[in-house]
Amino acid sequence: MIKEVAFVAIAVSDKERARKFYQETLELKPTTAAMEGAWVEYDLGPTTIGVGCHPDWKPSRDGTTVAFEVDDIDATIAQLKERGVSFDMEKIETPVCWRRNSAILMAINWSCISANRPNEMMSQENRKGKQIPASSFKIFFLLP
Amino acid sequence: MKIKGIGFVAIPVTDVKRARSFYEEVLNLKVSDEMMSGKWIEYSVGDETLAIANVIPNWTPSDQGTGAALEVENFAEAIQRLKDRDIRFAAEPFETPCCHMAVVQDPDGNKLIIHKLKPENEKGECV
Repeated sequence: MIKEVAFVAIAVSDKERARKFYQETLELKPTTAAMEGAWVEYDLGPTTIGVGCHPDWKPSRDGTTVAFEVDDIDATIAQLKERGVSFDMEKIETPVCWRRNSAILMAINWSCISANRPNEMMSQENRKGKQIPASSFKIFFLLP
Repeated sequence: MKIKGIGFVAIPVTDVKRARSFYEEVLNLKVSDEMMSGKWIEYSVGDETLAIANVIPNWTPSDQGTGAALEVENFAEAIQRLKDRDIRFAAEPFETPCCHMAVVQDPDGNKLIIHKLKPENEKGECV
């Protein structure tokens, strides 16, 4: 019935602030933009992230979230901190990640208030025999 | 900074058993991993991983915010299957120049977009 993830849609409340965050802080390259920038797509491997701004669709700290895969988690964390991104959860290592010498962290947008979370998340595992590096960071997009 | 791709998409649920029957029996997703004593379940969806989780008390379901769009083989069949099982629709099926979409909710209210791209010869201008 389901073939793949078509895209992941992220709600934002301020399209200009979101554009800066995704394009300057996270250095993602936009692939398409529509509705005067109220919908911007970023291709990431086989999947697309769509960042949308609409009054009936609000950002949320809760609910579905997306993990981004990076090569060097420590360098990424340092860069995000330099760029003023506040972290919802600091880097953690799970037993799975640790064996793979990597870790996951969660971050939230620079404009958000941080909340502390217990260190409980898991990592990416082998998929279909492909070795996927398990270092990821996870971002909660919450644009008040 | 180089973001290479999506590590996974994770959906918080309050009742793993109830959520599993939705994701496995209704959406027909195949489990690829089970971790943290069954509190973190992963499904392989194409090249990506979708996870349902009940691991952190202050990370709760939401019908707002980020949502995953799932590409289906056959849109009409998928909608019929979801209707037959009384799944909640937050948006009834609609058509754009390039795709068909509907928005459904899992048992916790998290929204999922059911999506079908039109074939090239039927496609209008996409965003």
